[in-house]
Amino acid sequence: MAVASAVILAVLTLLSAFAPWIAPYSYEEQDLALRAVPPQAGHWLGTDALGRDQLTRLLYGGRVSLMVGIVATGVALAIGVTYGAISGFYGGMVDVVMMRTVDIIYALPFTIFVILLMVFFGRDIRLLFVAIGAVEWLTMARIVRAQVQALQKQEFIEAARALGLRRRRIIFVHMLPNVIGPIIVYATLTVPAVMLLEAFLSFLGLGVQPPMSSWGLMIKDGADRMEECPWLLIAPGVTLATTLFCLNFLGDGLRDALDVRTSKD
Amino acid sequence: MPLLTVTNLSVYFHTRNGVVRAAEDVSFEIEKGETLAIVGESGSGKSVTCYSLMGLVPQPPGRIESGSAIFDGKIDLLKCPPQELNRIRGKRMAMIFQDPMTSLNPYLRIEDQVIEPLMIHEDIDRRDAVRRGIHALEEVGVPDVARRIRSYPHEFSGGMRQRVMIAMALITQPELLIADEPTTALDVTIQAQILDLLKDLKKKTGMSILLITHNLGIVGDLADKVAVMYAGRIVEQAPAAVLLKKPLHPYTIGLMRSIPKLGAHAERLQSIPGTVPDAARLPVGCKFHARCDRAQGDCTLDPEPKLVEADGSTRRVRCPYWDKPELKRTIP
Repeated sequence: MAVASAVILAVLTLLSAFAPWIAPYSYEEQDLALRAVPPQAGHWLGTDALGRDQLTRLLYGGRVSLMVGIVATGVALAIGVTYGAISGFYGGMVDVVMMRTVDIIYALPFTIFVILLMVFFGRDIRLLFVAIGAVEWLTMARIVRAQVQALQKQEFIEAARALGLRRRRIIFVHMLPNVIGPIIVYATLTVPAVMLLEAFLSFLGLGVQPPMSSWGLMIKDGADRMEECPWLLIAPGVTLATTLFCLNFLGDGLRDALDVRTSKD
Repeated sequence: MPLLTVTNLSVYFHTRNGVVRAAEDVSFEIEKGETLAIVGESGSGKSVTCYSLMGLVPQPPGRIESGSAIFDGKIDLLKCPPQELNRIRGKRMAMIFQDPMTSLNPYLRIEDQVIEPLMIHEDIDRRDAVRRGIHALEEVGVPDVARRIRSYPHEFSGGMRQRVMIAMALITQPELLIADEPTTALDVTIQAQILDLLKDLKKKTGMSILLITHNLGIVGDLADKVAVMYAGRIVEQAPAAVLLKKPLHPYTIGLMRSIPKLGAHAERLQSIPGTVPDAARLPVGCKFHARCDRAQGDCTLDPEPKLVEADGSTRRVRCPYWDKPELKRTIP
């Protein structure tokens, strides 16, 4: 299952990456004579209200959606895991200050946060990735902190201290492998959340700008006209759902593969 | 010069429910090649004592209030900076823990864990370290090492894991081994094997051992000296053979009586009445008076009895009535 998922994800990624070469049309090319036509020869997934080829837009949209998913989750992972591990490991005042900071950022309305970023740094799709990652790491930090705190009391961590290990080595070599399960599960949950966030931001005009597309944006457009043109909703919907399913299976597989205790033998 | 001299060590925990005096005025010495057993019930402060030597007392809430622990005549383990402590622990001083099921990291291969002390304390390349790891594991009686060294801890039984822990502790050839109830979590048959193994290794390597145990029964086998702890204090200190033959403190006598004996005298097993006092609310006077069968009126008054020399100067005991076993309890 996990292997099949990995293959599907790889195919989707490759298709999106090579969209300019594969796609039959350009993503902004309009054919006003063929507006909102259902799937047919020449337009395998139909066209949208402006006469743009749906398949092409799906391929291009995948670039943004997959990139957002991977980059933002990567950012969230990197910051969240490090931050949470440090906070949980040192405890005391360090922990209080670090976690209250997280609470404060949590309390900030996300949209305002992103608007502020956009105002200060200009509208840039890379910034969008960072902005989303910068919000998603909070939960990751909390999860990792709790896990590390629980590990802190474990005898094998005490044993590691008794060996004279440095703190950095204890955190990264002895603790993180024990936390990998929850991290992976949460990461696979973060990817879809991040893709949806991107759709939401694009809808507000803060993310991807037309005529560029993303899956989230296409679903949103499709949902608006799902009664007349269901294919506009179905195609990106199915693609996104497939991607998310595959990510979940892949996450499960990864966790099992990395958890030495549940591996076969 | 003794390898380790602990003087007047006091460790308190400052908790919301008051100050828990986990160890109070503990002093002992361990010579090179000597084994000292610290015996006591749960909560008597024996583990805290050795944890503080290894720098493992969580601070806060714990605090080392006073005392010193001079290692090898030079280094005070209680006051030296962390970097210096890290150079000693795991290298010159190693520890094995009570529960082998939880003291190995479940996510790292046995190989990586056993050679870890070598990798961080010695300038050695990995291949040589693994070779020494295999040798160390063979030394402690792990079968089929070449293959099993690549396994994870959950593929080992409890007794095997404790052997791995011992191999790990001894791989750097430490001068002092602290064994915190090394057999408590194991089956009785395995206990005997591990004790035999420790005895063997001690003979072979000439290291000193600080053995923490609540089982007086294993003391005679392994220890040269014994310190009996109660409510954070040492109540009796003597050479092992002497103490086992003739315990002086009423508490030690009670402990001895509560060891099951095999043989003709199938007498009823005796227990010490009552429980260990709450370390946050220790009684005034002698901490043992509530459970003692020769307690007198003045036992309930401060100051508490001091550790005094008895029977010549071979031993010390914290009871003014140690030489009056005929006394009966006169307080309610």
